[in-house]
Amino acid sequence: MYDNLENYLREVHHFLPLKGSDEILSELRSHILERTEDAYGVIDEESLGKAIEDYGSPQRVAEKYLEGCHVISPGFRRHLFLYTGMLFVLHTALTITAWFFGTDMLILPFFYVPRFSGVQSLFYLPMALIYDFGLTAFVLYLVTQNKGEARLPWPRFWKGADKPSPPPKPGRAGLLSLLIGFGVVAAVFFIFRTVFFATIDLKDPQPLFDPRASLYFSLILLAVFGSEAAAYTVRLFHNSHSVILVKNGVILILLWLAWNYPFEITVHGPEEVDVLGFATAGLVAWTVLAAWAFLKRLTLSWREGSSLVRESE
Amino acid sequence: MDPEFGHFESEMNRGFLQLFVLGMLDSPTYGYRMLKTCEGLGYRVEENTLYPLLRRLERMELIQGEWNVTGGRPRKFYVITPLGRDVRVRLLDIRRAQNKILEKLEQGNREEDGHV
Repeated sequence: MYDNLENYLREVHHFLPLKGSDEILSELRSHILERTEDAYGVIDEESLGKAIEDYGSPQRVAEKYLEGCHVISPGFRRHLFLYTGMLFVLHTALTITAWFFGTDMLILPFFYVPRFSGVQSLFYLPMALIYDFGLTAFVLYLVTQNKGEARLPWPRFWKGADKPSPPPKPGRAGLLSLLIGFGVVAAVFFIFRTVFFATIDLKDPQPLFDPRASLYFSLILLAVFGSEAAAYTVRLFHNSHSVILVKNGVILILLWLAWNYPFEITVHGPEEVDVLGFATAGLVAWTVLAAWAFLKRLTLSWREGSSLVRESE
Repeated sequence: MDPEFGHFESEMNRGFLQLFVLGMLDSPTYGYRMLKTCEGLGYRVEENTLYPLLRRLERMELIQGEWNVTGGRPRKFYVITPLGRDVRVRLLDIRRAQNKILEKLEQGNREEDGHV
């Protein structure tokens, strides 16, 4: 064991996050020992020190093994800055809104802006920029490590954006089933004043919540069904992403109302089941999906709008 | 050496070295001996370029490595695989074709200079 050599190999190992790095180091050890003996006729700390110096810095040696192993593909360099910029614009808009209305803001699952004063928001924004950069870098890192070829969206801000494919064509059968579903839910609501039940006994159904909560949440659910049916009907005549975007926006507002119910809820369900816990978990999942659907449709509508502007020019 | 020229040289060497290594491994040999062979042929190869290359070629299954203790020292011996031989033949064809193209280009340039 030679301290010089082992310290050097430890430093190379530090820069070498590869499987099989122990074997690389063994080969390096063997090579340096042989080279030292060949060049200086003796292996000791002094001669090893000279041989190690000739071999190069540990970082440079490790980097030679890492050629082609990118943390983020060089092809995504522009994406890193553009996506960070877009996120930061969104983050800044949320911060200003939160400050203006004196409330906290949330876009699931990534954004949370707490309530704060104007001065505090100035301190918050640099941190938001670092967060946005980190989040973008993390996503691009995952895409790069996945090794597949990915064509990430590249918004061109009204000029030259690709026209997206239209949404799936709505059919009359789809509309009919949606209307029947809506009719059934509406009929249940008008008969029982709720669509949430603790039992499924048709003769004597027990509502899950107290009357006020039953009415509130049932109306929200009916409104969701109504928006789905209305959007579907409009799409029969004008099938575009913007129609779905408006519908998704309405659903997000309805979900916001569901989260911000202005009363205490009394649950009549079985005691051994945590009904509110399940309902909250379901609502979180639904909100995440609705937020994702809204953002996706926002991008598609944007591309749709930009291509229409281009065609009219 | 002019640093910019050094960059061109290392770019050219990169492809050549792969072919050269594949050409040296018909019988098992290890890194240090390969470097000595290169030096004997008048071709200088940096040690910290050769070993990462050997690792890449091994990962691509063009060569195969095996540890052996000879002269009291553990050494990793490499030998070309059948897949490596196929690749070597194809790379040699490419290299020959490139050389012919360069010769034609040079000849064309010389003739042009002669006319001027």
